[in-house]
Amino acid sequence: MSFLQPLMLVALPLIALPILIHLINQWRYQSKPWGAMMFLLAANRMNRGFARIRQWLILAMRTLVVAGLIFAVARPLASGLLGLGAGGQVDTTVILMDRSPSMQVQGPGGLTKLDTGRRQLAGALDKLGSKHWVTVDAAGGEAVAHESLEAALLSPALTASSATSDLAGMLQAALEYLKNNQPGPTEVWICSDLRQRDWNADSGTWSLARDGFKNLPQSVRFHLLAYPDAARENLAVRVTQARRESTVEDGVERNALLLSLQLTRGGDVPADAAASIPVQIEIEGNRTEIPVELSGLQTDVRNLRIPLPRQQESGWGTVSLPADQNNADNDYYFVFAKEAVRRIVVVSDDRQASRALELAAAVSADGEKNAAVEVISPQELDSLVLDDTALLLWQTTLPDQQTAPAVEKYINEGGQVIFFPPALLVSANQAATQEFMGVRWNDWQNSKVLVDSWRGDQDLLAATRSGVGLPVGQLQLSGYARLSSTTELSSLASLTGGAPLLTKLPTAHGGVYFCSVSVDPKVSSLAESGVVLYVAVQRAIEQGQEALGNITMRAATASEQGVNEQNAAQWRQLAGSAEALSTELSVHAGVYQQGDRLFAINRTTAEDRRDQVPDQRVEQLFAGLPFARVDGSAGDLTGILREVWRVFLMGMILAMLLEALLCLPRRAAVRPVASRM
Amino acid sequence: MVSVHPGVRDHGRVRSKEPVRVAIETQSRSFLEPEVLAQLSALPLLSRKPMLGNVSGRHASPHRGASVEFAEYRKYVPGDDLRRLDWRAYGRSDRFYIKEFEADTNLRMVLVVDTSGSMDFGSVGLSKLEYARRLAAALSYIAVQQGDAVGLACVAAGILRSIPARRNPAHLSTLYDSLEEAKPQGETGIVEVLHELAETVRQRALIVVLSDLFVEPDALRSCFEHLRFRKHDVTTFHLLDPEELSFAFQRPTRFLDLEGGTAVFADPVEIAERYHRVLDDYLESLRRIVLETAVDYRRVSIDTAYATTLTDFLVDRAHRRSAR
Repeated sequence: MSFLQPLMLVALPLIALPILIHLINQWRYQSKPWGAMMFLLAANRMNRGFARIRQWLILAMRTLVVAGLIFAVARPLASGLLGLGAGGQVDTTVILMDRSPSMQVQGPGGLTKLDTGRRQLAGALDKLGSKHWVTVDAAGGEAVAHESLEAALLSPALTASSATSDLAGMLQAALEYLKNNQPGPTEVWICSDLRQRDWNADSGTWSLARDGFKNLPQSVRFHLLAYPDAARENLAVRVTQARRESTVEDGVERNALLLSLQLTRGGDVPADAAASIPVQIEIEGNRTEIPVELSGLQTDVRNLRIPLPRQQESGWGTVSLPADQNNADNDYYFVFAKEAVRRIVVVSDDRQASRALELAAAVSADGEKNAAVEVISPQELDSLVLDDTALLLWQTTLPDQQTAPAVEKYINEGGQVIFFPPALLVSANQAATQEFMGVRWNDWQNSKVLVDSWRGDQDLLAATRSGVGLPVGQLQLSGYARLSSTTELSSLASLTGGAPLLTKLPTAHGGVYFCSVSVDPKVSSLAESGVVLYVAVQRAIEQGQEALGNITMRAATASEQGVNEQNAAQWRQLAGSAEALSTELSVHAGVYQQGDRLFAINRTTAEDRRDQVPDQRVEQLFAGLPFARVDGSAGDLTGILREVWRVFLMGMILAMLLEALLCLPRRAAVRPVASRM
Repeated sequence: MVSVHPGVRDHGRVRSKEPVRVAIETQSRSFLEPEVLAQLSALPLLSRKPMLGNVSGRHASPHRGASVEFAEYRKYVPGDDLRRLDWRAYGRSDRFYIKEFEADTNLRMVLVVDTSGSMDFGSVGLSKLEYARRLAAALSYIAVQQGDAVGLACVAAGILRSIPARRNPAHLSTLYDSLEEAKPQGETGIVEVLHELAETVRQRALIVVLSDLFVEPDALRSCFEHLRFRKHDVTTFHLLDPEELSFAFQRPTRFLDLEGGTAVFADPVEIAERYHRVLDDYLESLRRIVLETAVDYRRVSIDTAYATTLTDFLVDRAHRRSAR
């Protein structure tokens, strides 16, 4: 419970006034010498029930009258069903809006959770007031200060997007803002539907942010406006593959698009309910509609063949579903082009030791697009040609001065390289270990070591689409090569003791990875267990193919890759939301073009999952911080913050009436003396 | 100086004694009112049961005597006084019968006055103890006047003062002194005292209890049964103040125990009903006990004139005697 006039609460001790008066009245009781004490004591012992508590009730009512008056004058605030609120003098209000697609679930009247939250926040914050208003972009962007609440509410950070939110990152950004600007009392308002993917409750960022807020000198209070209700009936569509296929039939070359779709059904629909869904497919303005029989919660349509003009080598399209409770997952954009070559080059001084690399690179995920793997020994590096190479796997001494320019050129064109340490870090004709792009192998540490941690949220070691993490922790390592770098490396996995297992060298283009253990079975179980190695290599190949081709299908994100690398401001929108700002194209689903390159931006795979952060876990995330939560639902515009002084006034009047009722003079049970004689 | 001349009692009995002339100095006795005594002296104090006295008196004796009141016939046995042979009966039945008459004797009356703290309460201008003093003084006067012996026991936690029964008119002064000196104090131990008196007072006496009887009724039962076993004629004046009976207070009050117990805060409005319930239960229990133990029980509200109380008592007794 909070108050708009908390200073009035200093009058709260006045509630003791009735108690004092009661005590004074007791002291003023008449005293009477009495003989028939045996009857009085017996009567007093029989004094039970309501008669016994009547005096206490009267006292309580009088106290409530005074308390009700004081509370009413202090202008209490209430929210929803719970007593939540802010109050007092707020210097800065930070708004963290979860703008992920799931927040676009519509309620009665077509109002989405996002709109509902924005309106409820507007009503509440307008009432509370604040000197400064700050919004934090849901995709982990920086905090932006606004001059007024109206300006904050119009901020793009509070509008719908296709990107998954990063609540932990947003809190971290808010924390950084508060650290840098040192404002006064601050309130942080979070509006979210509590989806697990947006909260990423297992992230270590939460504990960092929590500790950071605890250590702030100013008071920071957190208010969560939650919309946990899931959509009652919702269909989502996703294009799992869009592949252009060229065949020759009867001497005629025919083009076709092989489209694989995945329809997911959520909500309260029975799992065995069947339905025919009209799926609309649009390819550069040409529309076609196909019925898809949906049974169960998920249906996959594989390799739906759609003929293409013979001369068309690339293009884009949209798959759409009929409108339902959440329209944000009814469209999926795709691009297609002539498939890039899957060429992988393995440079190894010990082919036996690097055999696992060849195998991991050779077989594609679908088993159909087997790559051409070319193995080169260090002696053959003069003939190294990296054109049309999707991935370069390097398990020998780092490139020397003769080779390095070619590799660097390949990397600058978007090429992907993974370096593995050779058995001998120094070649016979070298005095010391070779350095490449500021990184060098130092020496081997021949001791058993375990994997300590790894990044499961992105890059090569990210969890699978189903959310299952890679078994990186199960790797058995009998040694590792130490790295030294003149530039800062980004660690994707680290060993106990802090040494890196897999690091990424930040580059403008391309991906350069250093794995500190080799795939030699004598050194690690990378080859034996296989899964981690295979997944990492396949992901690197996909990245390389993407760099080689002219099309990109990626998840909506405002990460550095998405914005800086592709320079989203220069994109031209071919399809998608017309309301998307040019600076925010990377977080809005659609098809974009930059030069000859096509981009299809869609929501992440995780957006189709419906798991939420349990309430208890939410409480744990804010443990030790002033935290209040109120639940709402889409379309319910009931004010989350209301002045409830009327309730207290009514309570006061009620207490007065009860007090009067209890105090009504009752006739004593007088018995005439004569009746007993 | 007031002289009271008791008249000759009726019932057709011959009084062998001269009327007792009792002179009482009333100047310093606040509890004596000559007008009341004069009024009451016209009434006899009669026992309900045969008494064992030393001399001839007004009360029935368990033995046969020479009064004019016929008792019974019995067969002649050799050795009987021939003067008491009923010759008329012999003439009618040709058998010898001895005609026997009731014996009249005096009585011993012991006044048991409760002087515990609770007897100090009074809302009508006098306390229960003062009321008891008046009753005791008047009764003793009447008893001595008719030749009965009177004793006194002032009772609080125990017997504070005990005066043996005597029929000497001068003995009254001693009694009155003791009554005057009696002060209300302490708790009541009347139950133990009555047991003690039942044993120490010679059989067939008139025991008059003047008390508010603020003890458990069940405890009194054993006392009264003990007294009845000893063939005493027990009379109890249960003295109660009108406020104790009506409990008509309105304001919350701190009640201070006159017998030294703890004070009790109470709102009379709240507890009056329960007070009356407890009081009714108590009085009903007491009524049942006195009926079962044949105690002459008289509940007295002390706003009743003591002369009225005594008149009712004496007249009632006289009527009972004549009815017998």
